[in-house]
Amino acid sequence: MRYLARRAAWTVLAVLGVSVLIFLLVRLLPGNIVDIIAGTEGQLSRAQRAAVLREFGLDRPLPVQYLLWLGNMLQGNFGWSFRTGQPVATLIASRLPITIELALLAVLSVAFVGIPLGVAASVSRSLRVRTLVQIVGVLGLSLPNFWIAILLIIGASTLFGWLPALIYVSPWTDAWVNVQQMFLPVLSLSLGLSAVVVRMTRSSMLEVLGQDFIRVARAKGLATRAVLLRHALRNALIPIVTVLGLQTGFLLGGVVITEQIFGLPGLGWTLLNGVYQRDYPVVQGTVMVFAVTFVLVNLLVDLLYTYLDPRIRYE
Amino acid sequence: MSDAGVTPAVSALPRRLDAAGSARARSLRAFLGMPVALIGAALVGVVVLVALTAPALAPYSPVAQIAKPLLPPGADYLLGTDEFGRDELSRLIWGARVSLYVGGLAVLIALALGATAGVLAGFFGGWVDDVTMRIMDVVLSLPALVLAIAITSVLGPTLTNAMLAIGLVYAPTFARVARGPTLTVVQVPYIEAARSIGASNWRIIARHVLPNVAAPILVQATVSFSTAILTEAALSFLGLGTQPPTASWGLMLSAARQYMLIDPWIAVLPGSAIAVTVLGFNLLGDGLRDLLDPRMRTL
Amino acid sequence: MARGTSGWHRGVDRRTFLAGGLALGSGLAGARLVSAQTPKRGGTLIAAAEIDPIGLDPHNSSNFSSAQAYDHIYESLTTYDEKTNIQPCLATSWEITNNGKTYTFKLRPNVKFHNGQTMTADDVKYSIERVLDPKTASPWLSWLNAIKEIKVVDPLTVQMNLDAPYPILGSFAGIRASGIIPKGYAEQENLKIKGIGTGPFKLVEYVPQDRIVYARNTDYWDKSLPYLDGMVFKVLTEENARIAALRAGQIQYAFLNPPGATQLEGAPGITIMRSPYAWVVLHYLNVRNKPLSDARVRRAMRMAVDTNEVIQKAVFGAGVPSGPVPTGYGDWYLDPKTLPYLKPDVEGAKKLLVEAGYPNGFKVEIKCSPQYPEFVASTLVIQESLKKLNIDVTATQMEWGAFVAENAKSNNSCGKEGSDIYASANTFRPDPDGFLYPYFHSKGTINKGGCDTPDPKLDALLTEARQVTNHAERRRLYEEAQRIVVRDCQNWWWFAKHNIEAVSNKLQGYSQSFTGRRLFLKKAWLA
Repeated sequence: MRYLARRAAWTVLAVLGVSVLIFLLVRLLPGNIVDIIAGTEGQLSRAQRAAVLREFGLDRPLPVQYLLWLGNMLQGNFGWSFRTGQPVATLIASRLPITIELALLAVLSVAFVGIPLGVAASVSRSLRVRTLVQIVGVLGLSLPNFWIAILLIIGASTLFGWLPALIYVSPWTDAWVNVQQMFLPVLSLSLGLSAVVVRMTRSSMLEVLGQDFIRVARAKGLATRAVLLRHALRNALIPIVTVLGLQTGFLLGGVVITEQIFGLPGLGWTLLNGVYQRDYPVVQGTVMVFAVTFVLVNLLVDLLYTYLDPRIRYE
Repeated sequence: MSDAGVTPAVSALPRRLDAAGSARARSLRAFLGMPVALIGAALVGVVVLVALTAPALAPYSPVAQIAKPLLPPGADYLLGTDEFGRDELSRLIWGARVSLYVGGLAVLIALALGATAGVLAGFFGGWVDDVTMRIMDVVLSLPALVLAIAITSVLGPTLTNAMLAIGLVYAPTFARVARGPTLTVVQVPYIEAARSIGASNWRIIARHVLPNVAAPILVQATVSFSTAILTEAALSFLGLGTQPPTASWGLMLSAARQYMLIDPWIAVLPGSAIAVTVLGFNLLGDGLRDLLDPRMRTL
Repeated sequence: MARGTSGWHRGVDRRTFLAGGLALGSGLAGARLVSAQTPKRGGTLIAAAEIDPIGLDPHNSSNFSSAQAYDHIYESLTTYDEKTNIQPCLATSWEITNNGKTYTFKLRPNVKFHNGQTMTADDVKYSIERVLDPKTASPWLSWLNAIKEIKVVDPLTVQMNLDAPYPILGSFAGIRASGIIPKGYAEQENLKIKGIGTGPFKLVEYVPQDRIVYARNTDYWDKSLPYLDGMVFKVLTEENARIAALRAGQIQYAFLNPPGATQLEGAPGITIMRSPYAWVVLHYLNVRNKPLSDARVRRAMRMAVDTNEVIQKAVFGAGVPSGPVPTGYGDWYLDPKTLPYLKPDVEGAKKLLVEAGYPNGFKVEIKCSPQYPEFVASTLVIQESLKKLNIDVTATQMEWGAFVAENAKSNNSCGKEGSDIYASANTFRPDPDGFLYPYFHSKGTINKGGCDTPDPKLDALLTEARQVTNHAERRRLYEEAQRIVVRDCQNWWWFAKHNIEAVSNKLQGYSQSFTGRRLFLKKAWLA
């Protein structure tokens, strides 16, 4: 319990740190909303520029802006987008589920494909199988994400004459259409991710299988499959779970590009677009949501450890 | 965050305190017997060789627009020309340099910042550990792309600056990788004893910690190397990576996507180059991991 | 239909006026789908938008994609027809009196806004005053600020008083901030994502970065239009995705880039329409500092580049050489065959450089953004060509926001800050003045570096062209002005791009517009 308390305290500090960092970082970007509004063909006079800055609160001193933003955020008000005037909280609420669905489906499909492959690579007697799985497993990681996505689109439309519905439909509305829509994006994302998981699973399993307590279990006469599944995999899952937790960063990068290419209105692309448009509230709000998500995922991962390996205890 | 790299203390004695010699020789033979590791090493070797000999190897300049655009492979231009009439083969060859530069720079920065932080965190423990790992968490929380845009926009839109951002984002991974073995070493009674009698920290780090950290770091480096190459491609896709007309495989691939059904060649070639290089580094990393210690968990 | 009467157009009969006059002449007609069928009502068009509109406010959006999106919802006093001639729209006629300083517009009666309200002069006054209000921060204020006073004469008559003649006002339609909204509407609603206008389509919903949905305006003042029941524009920025959707029959309309169009050539059931439009790819030159302050240097650099090569490599051949006014714009443009420097002349360029004192070349930087690949591509061709003159060009790719900020810095400081050369494009302006005055008149607001060294001849030409109202006279003045800036390479103008739109054979009756905006979807129908 004390561990959790200490952990929580540090986490709050870390999240606070992220908030300061992103607040400053967006303001360091050259150009601001005024330049974006003017564009390259229009022009804004000094009076107009001042009006814009005043409207968005950008004429106040930085600490004031930060405290106002932080204070509002803690009450659930994430501000309003500079570009569309929509409340950022509403924007995030409508887009986050899509990104989460994308990421979650990718992770799940990887788990069901990557882990078995990794297990096969670690226990198979045949050198050929082991080598083959290793190479195939790694191949998915070898192509840039956007490339896989584009190839899938072109392939689907030219070879199969098929494309999923254009407008995103949530799984609650129509699960079948949703599955069709997510199929290609999830595929392009999970290919890269599975490679990592295949390798992790393999090396993790090798390590665990070489350990004493496995030999003991075997000597005791437990059937091979039981040994594998119950003891080895459980221990091997620890680093796999770690990796999946760390891959949040990689996933986010892949998700952003995948959303753009497939036209999914997710939070990743909203974030990137917000950066391009110098839409401070959108960027700040979205990054905070991602940061908190990341932190929660890591916490979950850590709690998962205690379940997977009773030897790990936190004092 | 707890370190998943910490194996229960018993099974992983630091190498230096082991009977090293014969184990190493055995491992090397094992490495040579592993097809995967050899393939990896060979691929990497080829890429490095191509990069090093680029000026001599490439028939033309990679940026000179010397021929008609989109020519198919032929006698003059072995792999054809791209949309500007530049020789594909020369661009591919010079692109190897960019890939190595990209991977090397990102890994270097990640190593310098991350591994150092990880060792210090593991060694000193306590609040140093907490603060360091929380800072790493903060860095990890910031989306890599946003960071890349921010840094390139502020420092200047060069590839170097973009990879600086990527290196920064990889640092926490290296920190975690370095911290695990460090924690293990620190807990060994011999080390505790040495510290209690006043042996200098730096000496202990240098003689005992670093050798045990080196192996997993090396393996992680190969992984990050390949990831950096892919990230450069993604950045080029967003217009933030390599500056044209410099030839980088990522930029070539991104630019080629408009011509997919007109001239797929200019996309397939850089795509394959990326795939081969990334594959090579990943397989090499796997091989190294198996060589150095299959029980060593790395991320 | 066109009944613009004018007091100043003495001695010109009605026929001439209709053919020339304020009208923009017989500009190259955009490609148009001639259909043997009769139009029929019904159906929803599913289309792809290549860029997100980023906001639908008709008065303060600077994005071209924004105008393309709100064009279906809002209308202006006038509009353009398929030949880019001015036609009445919300105004049925207008008079220009008081030496060009007073415009009196007679409004069309019984025009309904989408909320059922009837449009009156109050709405027009409100809309324009909103643009003129600095708080609205309209980037197009300078196009309308010749208007000093707007008077509501009666519910269907609006009078605008200027302090100096401003012929551009007569076109009105092409002025980007000219959409008419109901009085008081901007204070009630967030115009960035909602809209009430008089246009052929109502806005059903706009989900930023995702889609825009329109429905037919059943009370549209032109009773026969539109034919479509509605339109859905899905934002698909990735061109391969648009091509795939067209191929799969999922969408019936998409804007394409030249290589994408080539990929789709011959695809069954799809027609590719192409025609030049008002999108001139150019490089802005900051003429404040050496060596670019010397016209010989600018000319030499231009001479070393093969314009045709730029067109080939930047837009896959889908373009036509152009001067400052895009080729095909009424009769205002310079005939491309008469443009100087089209063919490269490296020897001549070298001589000029030596004469200017740079026999060994120099270093220069060109800024561009990959947001528009053709800007980068044209820059790369220039970079390569200038090597022949020993000029070392650094082509700097910048993220769009950073690029815009840099460009603005250079504009606002009259070239004292910022870089030397910027790659960009000019889109449609309601008048040739828009392509010249802001950039080259000493009082122009986007004059890079030339504010302190005005060219009296050019100033005189541009000032006079603003005051004269006779079309033939204006045409002569602008031709002369264009010849000057083109000869001296005040900027480098390369080409007017082709507007390429892929249309499914199910969509009939669509015409392209030289403005690049999708105006004529209101006349299209689904077979």
